[in-house]
Formats: sequence, C-alpha cells, structure tokens
Amino acid sequence: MTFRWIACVLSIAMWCAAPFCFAVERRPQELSKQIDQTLFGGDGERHREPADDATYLRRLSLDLLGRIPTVAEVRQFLDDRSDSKRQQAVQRMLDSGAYPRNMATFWRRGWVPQADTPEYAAVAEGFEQWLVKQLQQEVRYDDLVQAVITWDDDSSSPRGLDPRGFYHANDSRPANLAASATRAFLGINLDCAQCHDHPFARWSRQQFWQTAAFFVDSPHDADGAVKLPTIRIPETDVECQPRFLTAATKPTGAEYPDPGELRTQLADWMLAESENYLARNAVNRIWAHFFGHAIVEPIDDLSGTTAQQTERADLLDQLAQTFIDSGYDIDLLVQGIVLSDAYQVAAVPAGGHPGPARLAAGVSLGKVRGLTGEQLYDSLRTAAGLPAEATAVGSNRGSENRDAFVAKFYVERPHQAERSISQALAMMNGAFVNDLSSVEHNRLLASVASSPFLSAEEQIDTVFLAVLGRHATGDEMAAVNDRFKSHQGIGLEQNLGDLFWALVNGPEFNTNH
Amino acid sequence: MQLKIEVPRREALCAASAGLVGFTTSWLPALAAATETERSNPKAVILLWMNGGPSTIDLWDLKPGHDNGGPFREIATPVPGMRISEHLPQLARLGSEFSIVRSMSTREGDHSRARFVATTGYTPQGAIKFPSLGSLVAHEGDQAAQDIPSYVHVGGRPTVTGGGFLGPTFAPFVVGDGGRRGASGAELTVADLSTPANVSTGDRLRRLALLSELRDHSSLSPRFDVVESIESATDRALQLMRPSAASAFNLGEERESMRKAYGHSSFGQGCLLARRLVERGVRCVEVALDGWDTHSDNFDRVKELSQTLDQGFAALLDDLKSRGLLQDTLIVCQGEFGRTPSINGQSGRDHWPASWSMVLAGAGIRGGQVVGKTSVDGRVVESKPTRTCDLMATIFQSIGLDPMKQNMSNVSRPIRLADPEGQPIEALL
Repeated sequence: MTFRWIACVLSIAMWCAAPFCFAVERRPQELSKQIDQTLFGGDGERHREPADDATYLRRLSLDLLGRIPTVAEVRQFLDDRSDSKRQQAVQRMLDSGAYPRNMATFWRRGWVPQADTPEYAAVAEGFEQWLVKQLQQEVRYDDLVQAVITWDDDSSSPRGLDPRGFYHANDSRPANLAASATRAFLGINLDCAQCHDHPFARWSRQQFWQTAAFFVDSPHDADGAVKLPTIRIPETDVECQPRFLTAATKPTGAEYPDPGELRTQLADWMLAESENYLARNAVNRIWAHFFGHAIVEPIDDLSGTTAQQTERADLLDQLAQTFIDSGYDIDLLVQGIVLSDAYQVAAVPAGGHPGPARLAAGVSLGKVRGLTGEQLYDSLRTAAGLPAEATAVGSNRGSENRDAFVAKFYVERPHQAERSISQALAMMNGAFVNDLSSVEHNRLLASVASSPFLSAEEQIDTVFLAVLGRHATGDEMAAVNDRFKSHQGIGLEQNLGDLFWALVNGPEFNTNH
Repeated sequence: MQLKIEVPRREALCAASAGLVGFTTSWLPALAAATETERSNPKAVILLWMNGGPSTIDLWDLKPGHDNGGPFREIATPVPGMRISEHLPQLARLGSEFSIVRSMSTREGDHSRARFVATTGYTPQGAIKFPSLGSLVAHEGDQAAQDIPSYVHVGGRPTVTGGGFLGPTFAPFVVGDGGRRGASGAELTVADLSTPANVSTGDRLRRLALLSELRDHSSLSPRFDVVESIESATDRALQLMRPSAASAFNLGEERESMRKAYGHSSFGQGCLLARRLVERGVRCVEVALDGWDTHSDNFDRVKELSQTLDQGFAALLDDLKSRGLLQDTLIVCQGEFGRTPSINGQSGRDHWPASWSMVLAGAGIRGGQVVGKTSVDGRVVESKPTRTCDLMATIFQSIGLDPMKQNMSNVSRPIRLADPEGQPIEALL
C-alpha cells in the first residue's frame, strides 16, 4: 500500500515537472530502508561498516553488468565528490546495454539450468536472446513468467525470439516440465514426489502428476470435442487430471478449445495463489544474485521447513509483498537492494574484525563470492582494456571462445564456488590469459607502456586500477617496484605483462568481495 | 589418532616453482614419511559410472521369455547360474572375477537427485555439503605426499563438483572435456598442463614469484572459503605440472596393443587411464560412460553401449589382475537407477529405481556371486532389497574402511562415511 501511495505521489510529482532523476531515486530508497530496518533493527550498527568506494563500484559492476569496471570508470567514480554518486552509478548501469544481457544470463541460469550442461547447451542462446529483449523493454516479471508458461509453438515469431528453450531443455515431457516449472517459478522442489510419497514432505506423488497433467496436450473425444487430459503415474494404474498444486482445485470450464488454455490457467493460478510462491521465489533468487546466500535456502525449497521459520521467512514475505505491490518491477527491487546498507557492507572491514557479518535473522552479508564464467571472461577482457564481446544484436553470446571459457569456469552458486585444478591450469597456462598478458593483445598494457609521461609508480598503479579496480597499496607498490627494478633487463613491457598475469591469477581478481 | 597435515600454501607455491628448475624440496619426503606412519591407505576405487541410468534388465538381470525381456539373449559365465547379456561376451568370460547385485532398490527417479544419493550415499539434507564417495576415499588416503590429485573423474561431469564438507582439496580433478558445454568430447588429455610455447621458464618463475609476493600483501585471506579454494587450486595445479606427475596422464606411454585392448572409445581409454592412475597411488577414479537415458530406441542403444562397456571393463579386469592390482582395487559399475521393466511406445525404457542391478569386483569383494533376485517380470525385488546405504557400507568395508567412521561436516555435526542404517552385504565380503 505504502508504495502505491508513493508511486501515486511520485507520478504527480513528475507531472509537475520535478527532476526525473529525483523521482526514480526515491522509491528504491524506501525499499532500501525497509531492507535495512528489517535486517539491522535497532542494534545492528556494528555490522554496518560500508565497503569503500572502489570496492562498492567493483561489486556493483560485477553484479549489474557482469564485469569489473574499466580504469576510466574507476577513476571517475573515485574522483566524484557528489553525495549521490552511488545512486548515480546504479542508474548509469541500469541504463546500459550490459545490464539486461547480464540479467538475462542470471534468469536463464535459474530457470533453465539444463542449458549449462552439454546436452542442452544449444538452447541457452535463444532463450537468453529472448530474455534480453524482454528486459530491455522492461517487461514485468509476472508477464515474463506467463510468457514462458503459456508459450505456444504456433505463435512463434519468425526470428525465433521466444522462450521455446524452456520446453526443449525439458524434452517437452510433462513430468520434466512440471518439475522445472515449479522449481524455476515457484521455488518448489517436486523431484522426490515424482517417484514416491515422502512421510514429511508436503507434496504427494499424485500432486506431482496432477501438475504434470497441465503440460499434456488435450485429447479430442469421438465427437471432436476437447477433453481434459490425463496422465498415468508410471507403472501404476492411477490416472491423474490437472489440479492446482496448493489449492488442489481443478481448472475451470468443461472444454478446452485452445491447447494452451490449460497452461494459461496454470499461469493465472501461479500469480494468484495465496502463498505468494511466485513473488517469494523471484525475490529469493534476486537476493542470492546480490548476496550469494538466498534469504531462504535451499533456493528451490520454499515449501520446506526452513522456509517456514524465523525472521528470514518474514523478510522474504515482506519483500515479496513489496515486489507484488510495485507491479512486479524487477529494476525497482534491484535498485532497492544495491542501495541498501546491507548490500554495501564491507567484506573485509578496514581495521576491524573480519566479516562476513551474520545478523540476528541469520542472513549473511558481505560474503566473498567466486566469479561466474561469464563474469570472469568479460572481466579479463575489461582488465585488458578490451570491450566485452557482443556480436549479435541483443546477445552476449555467439563467441565460441567465450562459450568454451564460460563452460570451463561454470559455477553453480558463486558463494560456494570451488576453483578446480583444471580451472587454475587454464588461468595460469591457457592461451586466453597468456595472450592478454602481453602488450600485443592487451590494449591497457600497450597504452601504459607507451605513455612516457607516466612515472613508474603511475604505470604500476594503472595496472592495479584496471585489474583490481583500486589503487595499489604502499606495500604492493614497493614490492612491485622492487621487482621491476631487479628485472629491468627484460624491459617494461614484459614486466607489465608479468604484473597483469600475477594479478589476474590472484584471489582478489577472481572473487566478488 | 588422525593427524591433519596441510602443506602450507605459500611453501607449496614456492616449492612448486622451485621444482620447475630441478631443485628437490626438503619437506616433501619428510611429509610423506610422517603421513605413512599415521595413516594406512585404503584400497583404491574405480567407479565405472553409467550415466543416465543403465537398463540393467538388459545387462545383468535379463528376463528372457517375458514381455518385459526385450530381444536380448542370455549367455553363460563360468559361474553356474550367473547369466548375463549376450552383448557382454568378454565380461561373461570373466564371470568368476565379479559379482552382481540384483536386489538394488532405491527411491529416487530424478536424475540429479538419484545421482546425488548414489554418489554420496545420503539424501540431500538442508545445508549439509555431503562429499562424494571419491572425496571420502581420497580423504582417508595419503593426500599430501603426492602431486597427482587423489580423486580423478574421467570423461564426464562429476555429480558433486567440489569436495563437499571435506573441502576443495578432495574435489574431483576432471580429465577430458566431454562433460562440458561447447566442447568436442573424446580427448582425454589434461588441458593447459604445461606453459605455452611463447612463455619461457624465466617468465614463469618471475610471474610465480610475483604472484606469491602479492599474495602476502593481500587483504583477502584464505579465511574465506572461496579465497582458500582459489589459492589451493593454484598450488595443486603447480604440483600437477611437475613432469613426474604430468606423465601419469600421458596415454602415449602405453603400448599400442594395450590401448587397443581397452578399445578406442573414450570410455575404454578412460579405463586405461584409471589403471595408470591407480598404479600411481590415486585413491579414486571415476570413468563415465554417458548415453544410458534410453527413453526411446533402448535396444539399439544399449547394444552399442554394452559393447563399449564390455571391452573397457573386461580389459581393466584383465590388466589389473595381471599386474596384481585387482586385490587392492575395487571396481564398482553402476548408474543412478535402472529402467522400467515394461517397454514404452518408443521401444524405450523410462526411469526405474525400484529394482535394478549393479556390479562389484576386486578388493575385498568375493567374485562370482549373484546377490538377490527379482520377479519374473523384473518389477519387484523378491529377496532382501539392497539400499544405497547397504551398498555404501559394503564398498567402504571392502576397501578396508570402517563405514561408521565419522568426519566433521560443515554444519558442525559428525557424519559417518556411510549412513549408519546400512548393512554390508555379507555374501560379498
């Protein structure tokens, strides 16, 4: 309600020609305040030490754009003396072309995780392109889900910009589609219910197959009339008809003239059901994107026991309600999160005790996360002064090198990422990183090496800015300077290449912190 | 008493870079000696992983004459009463070397859940990061003394990619890009194991020295799990790059006749690699054979897969036996579940966890046994059902580990190697 009211006031304010940037900043800040009040309550001050500007910009850029900031972006941000520079940086990033591409990968990974396996890799590109297009047009979240659930082969657009990948990744099998749709869009895990009734689980085997029945094509009877479809539980004689999961009610209407009608009803029910699974799942997944941990874990078990307990469930409920009230506005939720104190908490407090902070609600803040393959690839290029690869319009894919690298550096959940030996070998010996460690392929190094007006310290510092998004510390500067001097014989270019190689192989570059 | 020995990270980095120019480091032999007295190495495990859920009713427990049986015929083995598919002739010859468990009965019919349970022995529970069998076995072994990772996965994608609550040191090292998106497949080489041609030894040493020094100044310490795993992977990668370690993965060192015996499939060559690794002290090797998810065209596909399996598995048994390694190496051959006894409309079989078979050989396993029995239609286990926990208890016992041994988990609760409900299959031990 509050937000509808604010929205109303704001739209009036906009009519009165108030500055636009003021109008869009205000609502997310209300949301940020809501998050911080819930998390920190009265006595959370000691957990709130904020990350410094350089750390914040890098974190924000990795989360919103999928890459580290460029040298120019870092310098500009650090030099900016404005009080609202963090808000402005958020807005700049939301308006950039990289943002929808990055978020398309995020949603695709959550909804169609199969596309990260070799068997279904082919569906990733089409699905993400479709998502990019929707996100560019700021389509509401509920409409996005509806478009996937109700997608119909007959209505495919000529360019193939559609969510058919969801169906392909599930082999168009009703059982797979039911399990994936409930997990992806409701955060409900029905995998066990597919085969058996579990004494403590909320969902029965029959309920699983009743959900699956929504994805069965409606058969025609002898008169040509459409009948309600049924599906048989394998190796039993039990036939199941479509029933809505939480309500156990039947779809309405006796006849189903349109094959997509059942799925339309399924999508309508998902949006209307009283436990807000759809919104809670969306908020929980977005939260995990920005914090590592989701509010409720496991991320696909919102009907499980942990989701029913404690303040965490309350926090998720509140944010879900806000999300619904905002008209399923993804960008508002994103802005609210990244402008909250909670998001801005330092992982490594300046002088104090090391994080990650754990609040009363049990939510971890300031968690050090690994990088996804996409983040790592695009950040390596950014560090080398090269543009992120974007070949086709609206696509961040299409590069075989990028796809192979991304597959090699796949991580399921960044906060639990475990670097493997194979990945370490690729970082140290792989052609990609080694090419970028030479001035021939690295524009940043080339320009540093050919800038005689820079002092040795300034040259070193520029490499730190490019790779780590911050200035070199005094100790680092002294150490690198000594090395460069003792290896003067090999030349500046080689030394700069060594520095680049050493920095991109270190843990600071390889994490989001 | 169990002594936890960790190679100090920075030492490892220095040692590894020193090793490249031919110095031997002093701490390695000492460490090896120290661990030897503290631990007795368990036997090794080779897991032949039939990914997708193999149709075991068409492999190990045929139902000739019944509608569910399909077209395959049975052939005899040297063991009276043990008959297997006609498409496994080499294995049939070796019937007295392995045993078949025909009473497997599990609960999960979803690929990822079933894989998790089959490889960890536990049902997913909240936040507990269960390690896979391979990590558990590697953890019990003498890890720190060797340069090769003690748990290696060949040819696919491991179910648990990390080391679970045992940490990244015990994560599977993956050989072959067959399980990766966008990769072509069959090559069983380790990518990027040596420095590129345009990087000299001098370049390498300078870079490593700089990396090591910058680590010392880093504010991101290994207290963070993610940071620890990056530093540890870097150090272990450097150890693996030593020529003595790297050569373990070079199948070119094998005689052509030996390579041929295993078959030129990537599965066959993976079995050969498994033997080379076990010979060098690796504790667990998984070799994946993918393609068993035969919802359609089951019989043509299973016939072809059977031939690949038959050649690789039989060559492995022969080879390990002739080298005297079979008594110290357990071979486990299974997938995540079986397939429906009834045949569907596309000549396929669907997922079926209720009654299926698997095979064990070597180590402490008595060969030539058939455990359990299914009904004539294959749908019901008529003897005492074997659960995953029973199988896990059997596996640990057969390699000389106490299934009841506990490790501390990430939720500060001790977890036993195998679920304590499990009863080892006495007939096999």
